[in-house]
Amino acid sequence: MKKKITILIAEDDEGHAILIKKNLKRAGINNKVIHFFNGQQLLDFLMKKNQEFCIKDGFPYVLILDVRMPKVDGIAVLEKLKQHEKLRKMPVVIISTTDDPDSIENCHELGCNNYIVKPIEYDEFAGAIKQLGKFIKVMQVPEIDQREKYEKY
Amino acid sequence: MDPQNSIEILWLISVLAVGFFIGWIVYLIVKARITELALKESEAKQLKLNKQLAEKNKDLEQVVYITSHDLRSPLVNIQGFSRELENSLNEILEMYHNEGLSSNTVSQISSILESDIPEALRFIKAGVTKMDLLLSGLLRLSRLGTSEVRTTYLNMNSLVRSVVNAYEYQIQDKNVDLEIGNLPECKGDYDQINRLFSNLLENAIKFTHNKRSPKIKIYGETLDSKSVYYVQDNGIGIEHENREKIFEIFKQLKPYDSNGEGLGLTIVKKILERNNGEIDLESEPEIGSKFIVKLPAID
Repeated sequence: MKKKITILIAEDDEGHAILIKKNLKRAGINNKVIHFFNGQQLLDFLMKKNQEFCIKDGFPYVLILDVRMPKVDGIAVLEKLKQHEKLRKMPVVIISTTDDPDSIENCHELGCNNYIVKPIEYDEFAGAIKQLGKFIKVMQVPEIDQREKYEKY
Repeated sequence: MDPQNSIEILWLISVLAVGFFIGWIVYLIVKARITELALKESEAKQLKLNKQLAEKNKDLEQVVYITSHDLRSPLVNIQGFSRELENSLNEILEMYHNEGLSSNTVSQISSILESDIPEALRFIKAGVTKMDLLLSGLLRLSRLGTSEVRTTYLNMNSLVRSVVNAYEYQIQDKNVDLEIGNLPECKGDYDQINRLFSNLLENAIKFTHNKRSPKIKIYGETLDSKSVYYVQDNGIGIEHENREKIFEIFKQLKPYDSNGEGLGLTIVKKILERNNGEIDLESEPEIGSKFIVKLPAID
């Protein structure tokens, strides 16, 4: 059986995170969602700093990442992930209020799979998240495994 | 005179002359050196000032960029949750219409649900839309200050044609009689010059006079190694005392008559600064305006 994708959201603004979650649900995405308030919390989760609360081996994850966050920002997270031998396979969708073309290009160069500008108009916002829902449904999401025995192939 | 004396006097004069000559040379050298030093010092001062000015400018642009970006973030919440509130409200309305409540309660609740709350939400949303407009304008302006200017030879006939095409709907909607003459080529950044003429045309379409059918004329000529373009309308015109003000940031002379953000002409001015151009305005209230744009001609 295909394992269900877990959605990780790194977003310092709680309101934005709630609105993203609400609209993902409306788009028919009922997957488990884990919310992080900054890049550091997310990295700790991904790098297994705490064995109680960390990424599970052999399961697929998708990351929805905000750019401007305290402590470690989205760009730094993206850079770290894409340099990581295993985690680099995880699909990353950037979602940001920044519509600066340079910033968007930079994220694509660093290897994000999609970049969504958070529109202020709520209909557009809801529409963008709906599109994101479709994207998550069709996306090929590899299972992330950091265990030793999988290192061989 | 004793020949011995005259030799001595001659000798003395020569020594004095040589001494004076050497002194004069030394004086000249010292003077040149001092001037050079003073010049170097003032040059250094100038350089330092220029550098400081450039840094300050950069700071300012950064501040504008960051504030306008960060200010948008809470707007996403205000807008988003107002809409969510509206959705919940509609759900409640539907529910209570289906329940049997006393007519007095119903009328009280309905005044709150059907007029008070929707009114509050309408104001919140309108405020957000307006603020978003201002912030994105501010962002565009700050980006214009930092973006690179890619100067190329511009075929202005085709550039202006594409500007006009983009405003086709507004032109037909307001029934504008638009006349375009032959335009000389010039040097500038395609996107920026396109924006410049878009803003001028947009204003001409926006500020038409309601007593006559609107006419807009765009034409040009080459004058003293400058390509000069005229955007002329028969609209409401601009009072003499406001001719400078219209280029100021967020200045709208009739803020309630238009729905712009008040940055169109500020952007025009900035674009011209960055493309070695100039702008002039001839205008009479109630008669119309003529914007005169000068850009470097092709040698």
